[in-house]
Amino acid sequence: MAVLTLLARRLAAALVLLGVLSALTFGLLAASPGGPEQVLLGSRPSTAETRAAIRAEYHLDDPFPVRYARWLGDAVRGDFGVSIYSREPVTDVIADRMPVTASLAGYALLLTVAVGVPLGLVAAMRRGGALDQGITLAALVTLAIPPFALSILLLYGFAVALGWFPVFGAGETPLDRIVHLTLPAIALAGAQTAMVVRQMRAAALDLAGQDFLTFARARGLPRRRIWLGYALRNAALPVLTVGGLLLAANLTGSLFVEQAFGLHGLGALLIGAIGQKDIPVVQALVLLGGAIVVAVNLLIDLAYLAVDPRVRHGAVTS
Amino acid sequence: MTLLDVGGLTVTGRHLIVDGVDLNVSRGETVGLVGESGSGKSLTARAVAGLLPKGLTATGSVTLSGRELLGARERLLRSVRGSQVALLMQDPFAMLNPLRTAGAHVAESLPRLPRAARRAEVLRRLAEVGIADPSVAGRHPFQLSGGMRQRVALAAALARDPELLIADEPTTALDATTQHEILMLLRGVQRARGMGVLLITHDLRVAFELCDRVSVMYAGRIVESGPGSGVAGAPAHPYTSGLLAALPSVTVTLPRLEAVPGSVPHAEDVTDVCAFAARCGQAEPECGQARPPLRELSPGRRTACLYEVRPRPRTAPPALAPDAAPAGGTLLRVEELRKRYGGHVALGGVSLDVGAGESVGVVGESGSGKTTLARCVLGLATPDGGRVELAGLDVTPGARAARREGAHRLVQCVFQDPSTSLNPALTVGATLAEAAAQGRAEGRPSVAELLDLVGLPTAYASRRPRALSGGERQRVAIARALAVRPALLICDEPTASLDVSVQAHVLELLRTIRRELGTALLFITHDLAVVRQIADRTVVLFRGEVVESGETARVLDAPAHDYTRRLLASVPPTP
Ligand SMILES: Nc1ncnc2c1ncn2[C@@H]1O[C@H](COP(=O)(O)OP(=O)(O)O)[C@@H](O)[C@H]1O
Ligand code: SF4
Ligand SMILES: [Mg+2]
Repeated sequence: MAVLTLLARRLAAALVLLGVLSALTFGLLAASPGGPEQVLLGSRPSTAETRAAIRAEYHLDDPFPVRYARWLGDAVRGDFGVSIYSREPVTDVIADRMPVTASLAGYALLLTVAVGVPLGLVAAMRRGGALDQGITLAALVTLAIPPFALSILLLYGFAVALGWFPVFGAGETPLDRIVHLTLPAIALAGAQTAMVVRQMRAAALDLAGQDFLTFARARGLPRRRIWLGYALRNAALPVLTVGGLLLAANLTGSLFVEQAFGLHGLGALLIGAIGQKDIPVVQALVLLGGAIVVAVNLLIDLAYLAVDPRVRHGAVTS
Repeated sequence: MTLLDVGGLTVTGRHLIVDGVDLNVSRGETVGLVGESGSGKSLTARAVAGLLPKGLTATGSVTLSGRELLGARERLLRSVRGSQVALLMQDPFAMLNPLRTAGAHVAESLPRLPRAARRAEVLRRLAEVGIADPSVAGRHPFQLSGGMRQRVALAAALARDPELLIADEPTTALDATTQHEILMLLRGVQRARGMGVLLITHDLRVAFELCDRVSVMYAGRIVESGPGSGVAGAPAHPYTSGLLAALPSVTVTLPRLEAVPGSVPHAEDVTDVCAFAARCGQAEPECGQARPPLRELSPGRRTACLYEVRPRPRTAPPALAPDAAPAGGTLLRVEELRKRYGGHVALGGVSLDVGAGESVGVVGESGSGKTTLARCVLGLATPDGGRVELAGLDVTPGARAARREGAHRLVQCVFQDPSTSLNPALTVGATLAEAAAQGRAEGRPSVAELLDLVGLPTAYASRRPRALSGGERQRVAIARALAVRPALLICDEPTASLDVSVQAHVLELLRTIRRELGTALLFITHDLAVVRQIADRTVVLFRGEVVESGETARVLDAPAHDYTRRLLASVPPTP
C-alpha cells in the first residue's frame, strides 16, 4: 500500500513538473526576439504573403492559452512541428540523433559503474594504505580535468599518435560503433567515475564501523557474502542516486565530448539549434531533457523500493 | 574443562586501553565481566573474537579449546568464529543488516542445508530463542522491537552451535521487562546447550544474578574476581565495594546514595600504580608506588588491592520516611491527557497531580507514553485532548498560546542523553548564562552559583561539553534547567545512560536540590530502584494509561496491578 501511495505521489509530482516545463518551453517561442513569426520564417523571405501563411499555419492569431493547448496536444502525440532549419519533422531530427547519444550515455555509465564501484570499495577496504591514497589522488586529478581537455588528450594520445581508435564519427555496425565510442565514453566517464569512487568510498567507510558488519564477521560468514550482501548492498543506495543523475545528464547530451569527437548526438543538435534559432527543435529537446530527468528519478525511486525494505514499507521516505 | 583462556591480554591503540587481562571460561559456565563504561570490556571481547577495530592491536594470549587465536591467520579465525565462538553485540538496533529479513540472518549463518530443510531449521532456531510466530522470519529489523531484534541476533549467533558465546551488554539498550526476558532466555539457552558464556555488563545486579563467576574490570585491568555470591557478599576491592554501595535498591529508600568520587582514569596513566588510588578512600602511600598484583585470597578468589577492604558503614537503613506531603497545594495538574500518533495511542487519558515541592515518579516501559507526557507538559507536543494546568494557569499546548508565556519559568526539563541535549559549540558558562537570562532579573543566579549548586568546580565554565564526562554533562544540564529557578523540574530518564556510580551522584544531587530549593520533581524512569530513591509518589503507566498510583513505598511493596508486579519481578535482586 505504502508503495502505491509513494509511486502515485512521485508520479503526480513528475507530471506537475513536466507541465510547468512545457509551459515555459512554449513561452520560449512567444517571447523570442522578433516574435514567433520572425522565428518561424527562418531564412525564408519576409513578405506579406509568407507572413500571413505562417500566421495561418501556426494559428498565431489565436489567444495564447489556445495555442499552448494545441501545441501541448501535438507534443504529447509526439508532434513538435517542423525544424525551421532542415524543414524535417522535429521528431525525425531527434530520432536521428538519439542512438548516438544513448549508446554513448549507456557506455559511459557502464564504464563508470564497472570501474568506480570496485575502486571505491577497495579504497575503503585499504583505508589509509598506499592503494587508497593512490585511488583517492587519481580520482581528485580526474575530477579536476575538464571533459573537453580529457577528450583532446585521449584523441591525441590514442587516436592520433597511437592510431588505436578512430578519430571521428560514430561508426555504422554495432561492433564498429563500440570501437568508435570507446574514447568518447572514457572521456565522458572520467570525472563521473571519480565522483562514484568518492561516493562509494565514503559510503563503504561509513559502513565499516557499523555493528552489523562486525556481527556478520563474528558469525563467520564467508567474505563474499559480507562484501556483496552487506557492504555493497548497503552502500548501493547513495551510489544509485549519483549514478542515476549522471545517466540523466549524459542522456540529455554531452556537449563537450560530442563536440570534440565530432559525434552527431543530441548535444551537438542542441548547440546547432540554438545557433540557428531553430525554436521547435530547442523546445523538443528541452522537454525531452525534462522528461528524461523525471523518468530517471522515478527509476531511482523504484530502485530504492527494490533495495530498501524500509522505503517499501513506508517506514522512511527517501 | 577450560574452554577460553585469556592470559595477559593487552590492547593498544594510540594509547594503552586494555592492560594485562586474565580470564577463563569453562564449558557450561557463565562468567561475568563487569565494569563502568570505558573500562575496556568491549575491546576485550572483540580482541578475543579477533575483531578489533582498525588501528588497535592485541598482545598476550587467547586460547580457545587449546588453540591460540591471537595473531592467527584470518582464515583460521573465520573458521572459528560462529562455529566455536560467537559474539553478540550491545546494540540490537545496529547489529542486524537493515536490508535483510530476520529469517535471512539466521539462514545465512546456518551450515549448508538443502533449501526445504533450511526453512524448517530457521523456524526451529527462532523458536529456540522464544519466537514462536513464524511470520517473524519474514520481517525486517526495522519492523521488530529491540527485544525481538536481540532474540533474532541471538538465534543468528547460535546458528553454528558455538561452544562459547560472548555477549557484550546484550540487554543494556532494552527495557527492564525485556531485559529480564532476554537474560532468562540467555540463561535457558546456556543451560540447554551446556555452552560457555562470557557475559559483559556494566550492571552488577545482572552479573550477580546470572553468573557463576565474576571479574571486575577497571581502567583496562581486572581488579577483582571470584564467585558471584562471594564478590557480591564480601567485595575484596574498594572499587567493587563502592559500586555496590552506589546501587539503588528497589526495596528500601536509602538515606544516602554513595557515589564513587572522581572518574575512571586512562589505563595508560596508571600502569605502575593502583588504578583506583586516586578515588580510593583507604589509599596508602604504598598504593602509588607499584602496581598491586592480582593476588589470590582463596582458591578462585582474587583481588588487586593490597589491603583488606574496610567494611562500609552501610547502616541497615531504617527506611527513610518520605518527606511529609508538602503543604504548598497543587503545582501541576494533568487531566485526561490524550495523544495519538497515527493509529498508536501514546496517551489514553492520563491524569496526575504534582504538589509544590513534591516528587512524583512516572514508571513504565518504553512506549508506555512517559516521554509523550513530559513533552505535552513542556509544550513540545500538542495533546489531542485534556488539560495541563500549572500553578492554576491553563497551559495546555495549542489551547491558548498566550498563556504559555512564562510557563518556562515554572517548568524546566532534563533529558536522557546529556551528550545531545547540550549545544557542543557553547562553553558550559555560556550555556548557563544564556539559560539564566531567560529568568527574572532579580535573584538571577550567576554561572558560578549554578556550577556550585550541582557540585562542579567554577573552572568548568570555560569548558565545552566535549571535555566533560557523561555525568558531568548531566549535571550541567541540571544546572541549566535550574537557572530560571523553576518550580517544577521534569526529568526524563536522566540517569538511564549513566553508570551506577555516576547515577548515584546525579540522584543524590536531585534529592539535595529538592530539599534545599523546594523544586518539585516529575521524574520519569523505567528503573523501579531509582524511583524508590527519588519519588514520594509513583504513577505506573502502561500503554498510555495510569494503571496504578500511590505512595512509592506502597506501590513497590504492595503492588496492586499485574503490570506493576511484572515490572517488579524483572528487577534483578540488589546484592
Ligand atoms: N576503535 C577505537 N579506537 C581507539 N580507542 C577506542 C576504540 N574503541 C574504544 N576505544 C577506547 O577504549 C576504551 C575502552 O572502550 P570499551 O572497550 O568500549 O569500554 P567498555 O566496553 O568497557 O565501555 C575507551 O576509553 C574508548 O574510548
Ligand atoms: S591498593 Fe590501595 S589504592 Fe588501590 S584499592 Fe587497595 S587500598 Fe585502594
Ligand atoms: Mg562496551
